[in-house]
Amino acid sequence: MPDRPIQDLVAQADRQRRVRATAVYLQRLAPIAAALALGAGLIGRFLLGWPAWVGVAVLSLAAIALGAFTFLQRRTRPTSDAIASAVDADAGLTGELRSAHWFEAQGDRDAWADFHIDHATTRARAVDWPALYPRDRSPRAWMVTAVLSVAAIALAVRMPAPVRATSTSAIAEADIAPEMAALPKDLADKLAALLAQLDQAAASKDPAAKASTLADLKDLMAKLDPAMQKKLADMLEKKALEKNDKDTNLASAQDSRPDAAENATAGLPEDAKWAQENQAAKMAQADEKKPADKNAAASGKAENQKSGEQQSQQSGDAAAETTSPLMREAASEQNSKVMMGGGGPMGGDSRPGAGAGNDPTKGAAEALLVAQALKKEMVEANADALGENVDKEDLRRKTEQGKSGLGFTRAAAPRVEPSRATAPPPVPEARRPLLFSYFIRR
Amino acid sequence: MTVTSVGEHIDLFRERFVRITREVGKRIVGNEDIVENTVTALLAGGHVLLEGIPGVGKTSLVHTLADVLHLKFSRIQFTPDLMPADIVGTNIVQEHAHGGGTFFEFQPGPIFANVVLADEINRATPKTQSALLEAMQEQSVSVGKTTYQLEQPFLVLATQNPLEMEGTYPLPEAQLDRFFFKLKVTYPHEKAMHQILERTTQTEGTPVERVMDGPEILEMRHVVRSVPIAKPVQGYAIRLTLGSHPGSPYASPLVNKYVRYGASPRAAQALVLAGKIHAITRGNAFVSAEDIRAVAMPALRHRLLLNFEGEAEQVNADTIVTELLGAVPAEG
Repeated sequence: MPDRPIQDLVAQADRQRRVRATAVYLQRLAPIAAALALGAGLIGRFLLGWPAWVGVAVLSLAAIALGAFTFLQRRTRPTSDAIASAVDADAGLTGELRSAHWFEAQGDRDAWADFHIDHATTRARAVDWPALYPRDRSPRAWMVTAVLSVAAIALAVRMPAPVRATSTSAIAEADIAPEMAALPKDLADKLAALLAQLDQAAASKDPAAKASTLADLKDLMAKLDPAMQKKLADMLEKKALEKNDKDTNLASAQDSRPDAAENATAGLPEDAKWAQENQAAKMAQADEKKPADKNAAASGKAENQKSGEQQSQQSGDAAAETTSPLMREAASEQNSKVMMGGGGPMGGDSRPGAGAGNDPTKGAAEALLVAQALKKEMVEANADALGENVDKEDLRRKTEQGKSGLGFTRAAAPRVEPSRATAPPPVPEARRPLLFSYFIRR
Repeated sequence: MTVTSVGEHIDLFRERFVRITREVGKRIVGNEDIVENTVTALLAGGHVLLEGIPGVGKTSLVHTLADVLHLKFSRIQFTPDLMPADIVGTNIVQEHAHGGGTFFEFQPGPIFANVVLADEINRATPKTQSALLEAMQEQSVSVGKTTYQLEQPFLVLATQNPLEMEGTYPLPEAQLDRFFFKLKVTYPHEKAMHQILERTTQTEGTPVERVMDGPEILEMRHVVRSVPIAKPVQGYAIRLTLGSHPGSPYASPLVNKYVRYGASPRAAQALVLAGKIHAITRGNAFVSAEDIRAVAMPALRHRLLLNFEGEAEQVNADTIVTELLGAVPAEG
């Protein structure tokens, strides 16, 4: 008979209990771990371009973790009151095992404690512990685990090398300027997607798609704060200039411009048609004089800041855009949108190097500025602001005069109150201090 | 005491306990748990406050218990004009038999009995109610400069009516705390009513036997105190007591909201002693958390002092104790 029968019984029962609980955990966790390993292998290999061994590595790590967990759970631990209480509750011993477990650990015991321990030992030995904590075998879970594990290993060994796919977001990330890093993630993604869409529309020369994308871009930009709008507009403009420099097919675009202008005048009044044709002719003359290289455009930028006339004559396409934003829109998109083209207060685009009428990104930048200006006007209109040119002082005075209908009669109050027949009697001098103390509280 | 004699003691205790409850049950129908808890309080050396509407058998229970136990019984009907001397007794002037002058002689009051029925205790003034304090706690009575020990076993069984509040004086907290158990005598159910009518309207009355006397009760009290209790189980009783205090780490939400003061250490004593009796009457030589839980309600319900919010919302102390039992873990 062991020295501490209750402690040993509790320790054995606790181990069986933990083994059973561990088996239950393993049957739940193992298929999940195998599925995770397979999923990591699939996603990593076909979407993220990870090496082939990643899935197997995840599987190995999971196996090691589960093995360590199992080892720790199967160890024999020193028993405690909580463990004895849990085992007692499982066996339905109504607290006797727990109480005897504590008394057995004590040094000196009386007859009552010995009787209690003996009785508890007899009852605990009568319990069928293996039946109380049976091995929970679930072949289905282990089968699923095995299949998933084999699939994860086969994926690493048998499957061909992955082809790295490029996603829209990758392109978008490449195009996103550092200024866009300050934007929220969803807005930045959306903006990048729209820019990519715009590029695609420009490449495919689909005006409807481009217009739709531009409209979306305007809506999106209108949601940003003005400082961010300005930054993004500058970024787009810069990008447009870079593309313009790389454009080698400028001549064919110039040739097609008068035709586009002719198509764009359909449906306009006669005077507008005449104005557009006149501007188109001027643009054509200017293009003939325009130097083809980038240095000329740069020098045109510098001189544009000095004089509007020099701008129109020297900077070629940029000058034509400046003088006729309306024509630029009509020539490039073939739909007669009459809109103010630039960021200036009167609609003229007086910025240096604001040319590249064929460039879709440039159109986006101008559309952005238009949207910004329109938004400002709309905000002011909604706020019903007075504006800076209204003299508020005059308005206030007029308002006061308009409401000053209340008059003041400057008549003196009557000496005797008309409701009284006679004046109240004077207060006697003797009662005056009493009267003061009554009415004046200190 | 040897290991084998422990078993014999347990069996004897159980047999006596069952004999008492069975004999009381001959006359009292439908309130078996009340009878069992009253005998538990008697064997623990405590006192019982019986609360119930008129006519449910509170006084009959006390009468029957006194008859069964072969103990000296007295009844005090508490009224607003009852004085402390009417309870504890007083010194009266006596004359010597042969004319040698007068002297004071102590005339014991009705408190000098084994089983005292304090009927409608809340009808007397607090001054008179307080006359019971010393007797209940110290088992003695002080009159003038003399202290008189009460005969053992001594048990006060007080009754009160929860409905008639007009002209009553609620028991002070100090006195409530001295009651081991507060038992709520409920209305008997239909089957029990049939039995009551058959026993009280068809015959002269059910006779009961005297199955036990004072020394046997004292012996049983000694056995009760021998039952061992493990520290973790004792810790559960302590946690329950501490949990009845607002702000305690074991306190339940209702305790924190509605209780002003929780149970005193007397409550923990009552929990452990009553738990021991509960265990031994079920043949166990140990106390489990289940035993503590079984006696927690009558031991704690009158020791919770509700705050203004609790009084205003008429919160039942039983609800708070029930929640406390669910909130305090048996494992420390």
